[in-house]
Amino acid sequence: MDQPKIPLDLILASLAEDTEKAQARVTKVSEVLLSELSTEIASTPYDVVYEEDRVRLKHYRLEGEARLKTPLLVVYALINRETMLDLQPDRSVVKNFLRDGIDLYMVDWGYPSRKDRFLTIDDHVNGYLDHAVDFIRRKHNLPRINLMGICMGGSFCVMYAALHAEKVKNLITTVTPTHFDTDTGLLHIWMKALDADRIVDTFGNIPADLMNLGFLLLNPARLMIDKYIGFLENADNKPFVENFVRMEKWIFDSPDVPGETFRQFINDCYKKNLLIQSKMKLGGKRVDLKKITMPLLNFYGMYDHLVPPAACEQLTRHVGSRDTEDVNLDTGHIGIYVSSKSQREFAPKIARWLMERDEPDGRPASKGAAIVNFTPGKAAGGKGRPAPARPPKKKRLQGERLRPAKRAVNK
Amino acid sequence: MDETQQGQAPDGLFPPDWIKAGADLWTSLLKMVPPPTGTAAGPSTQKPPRNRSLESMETALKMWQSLSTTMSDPAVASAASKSLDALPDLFLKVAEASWDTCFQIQKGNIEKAGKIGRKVEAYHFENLDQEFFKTLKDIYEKEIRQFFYIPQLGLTRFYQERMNLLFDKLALLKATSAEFFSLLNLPFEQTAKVMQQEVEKLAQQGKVPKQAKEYYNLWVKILEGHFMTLFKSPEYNQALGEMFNQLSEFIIAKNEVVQDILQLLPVPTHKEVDALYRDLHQLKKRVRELERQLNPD
Repeated sequence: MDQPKIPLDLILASLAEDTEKAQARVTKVSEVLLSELSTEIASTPYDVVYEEDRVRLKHYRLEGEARLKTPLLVVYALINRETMLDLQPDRSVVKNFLRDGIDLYMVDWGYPSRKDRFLTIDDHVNGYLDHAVDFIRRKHNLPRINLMGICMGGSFCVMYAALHAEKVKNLITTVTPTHFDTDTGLLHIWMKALDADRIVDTFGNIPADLMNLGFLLLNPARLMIDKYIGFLENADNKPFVENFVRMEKWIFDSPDVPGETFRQFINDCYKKNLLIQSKMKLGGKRVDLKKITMPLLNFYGMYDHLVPPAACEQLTRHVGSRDTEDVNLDTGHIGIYVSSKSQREFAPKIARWLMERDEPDGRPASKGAAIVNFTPGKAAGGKGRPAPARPPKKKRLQGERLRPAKRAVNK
Repeated sequence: MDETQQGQAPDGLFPPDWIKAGADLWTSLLKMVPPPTGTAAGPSTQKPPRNRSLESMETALKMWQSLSTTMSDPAVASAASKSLDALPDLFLKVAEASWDTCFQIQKGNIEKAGKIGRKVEAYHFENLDQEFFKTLKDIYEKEIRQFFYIPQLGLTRFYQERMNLLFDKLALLKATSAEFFSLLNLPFEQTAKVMQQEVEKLAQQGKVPKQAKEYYNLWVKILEGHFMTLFKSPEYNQALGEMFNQLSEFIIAKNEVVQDILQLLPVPTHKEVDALYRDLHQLKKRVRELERQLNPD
């Protein structure tokens, strides 16, 4: 049998041609890299309206009048930062929300220091988050506000909505893990094998660099090699370089995670899967998902390798609300927020959904009234819990055909 | 056998003549030490102050003299000789461990070399159990590790124990991380082999890529697949878990040593600060609860 011929001459000729082109490119690349680059992130103006310890509440400035009566509070994860929602001027979920007339607040969890190592999920959900919600309710004289959570922040919002249902008008969860007993994502497999107690006892807070290394190891071929090959290939393209650097800034701008919060999240959620079973406890109170009776919109990404659909899609089946909707997008974990197509569809979809559920509650918010009157055992259908505004429905949309981000990112 | 022969050390390590000469030397040196001089004012009832360096020298010479005399005792000389005899055994044991390691490394290399040219199956790893690294670790744990756990004595025993523990944990971390990183290297090795087969296959079909970029794309796709296969394997998860454990053990040991050093400096240690933070955290919770009770609105 003849030995197959590999056209080495053609490959070498092609390489020689590429080398000539490369010389011209190198000149262009040096021009781009040495020029003034616009790489700032989170440039949409906001005011810090409430602060507690390291946590800040941002209120974004609306250019015109708010079209929704109920403000929206966005809660990001403790991993990485909320700046991802405002990464660049033309790809900003924040800007899109403002354009749609949403009065927008966002929790900035700040950078935990060693002082914060003993803070638990209870401190975050029933402490910082509850205080931020109360602040907005008082400021707007409303009994309830809209709540939107992202990833781990979504899990916090689910816990909050179950424990403080009387303060949440509509709940939106995006790429939010609630069902952890799945082997479809590497993170789920690894977290089950992780000795969280030992790591927390050793490190105190979980170092951000350690976590980032873990995220990179989820797909080293793409995230540690191919991504940077892509950068080199496009390094003569100034807008590409600017966007790439913005993304790098966001990815590696990671706060440490408070140790006790990490311990509880791994042990109670990843290992015991307590949240979806309504068995999780915060501050001695059980997080009963059946108490989530407000409308729920649940987004997740079909190609999400961090929080796979299997980890998200069960939520709507376990809550008490009958007005729920699953939206399974044709994208990955971060593509939902940063891909160009999702910019046109994700935020407008949320704005429409909220608009349809924005009728006034008809109950003025007295300061802290809901806190006093709320009794978890009596919450379902009790005082201060209006019936769902829309006719009850369970809806599931499969693949709204949103394209994933062109280049892989490490989340 | 005469008296002289009976008094000799069994293996003749310390000939009695040498010992006697040694003792005589120290005695004569002692005699050479000048006596203390009186003051210029003449003899007095008070003893003049002695030169401390001379005193020290005298003590040292006396000690050597006693030692030489002691060594002339056949029983003592025999015991000393036996303890020296044990040294070669000790060195032999250490050398054995080193040789074992070298043999294992060579064996591993020969096994690897033997696999050259065999057919490679994509997205499948052979010998993932990393016997080679396990053997290295075993040798360390059986032959070397116990030296770090020899009981320490005296005032600084706890400090020395913690330092030895740090060295032990560092060695274990190195062994574990070597195993872990060798696992991470496997996809690259496997991809190179599979890539060769893929290119041959494409060549047979007459579909050989002409652009270097196409080769790269093929390579990165195969590499990604290999990583995914590796990451889902129980062996990788075990190695990852073990590396985290050893890293934690090392950091704990390192922190203990750092605490010892910090105690010498006028700065609070992590332990002290953590205790303070824990108290602060609990106090804040209690204050918040009390505020709620006092001011429900």
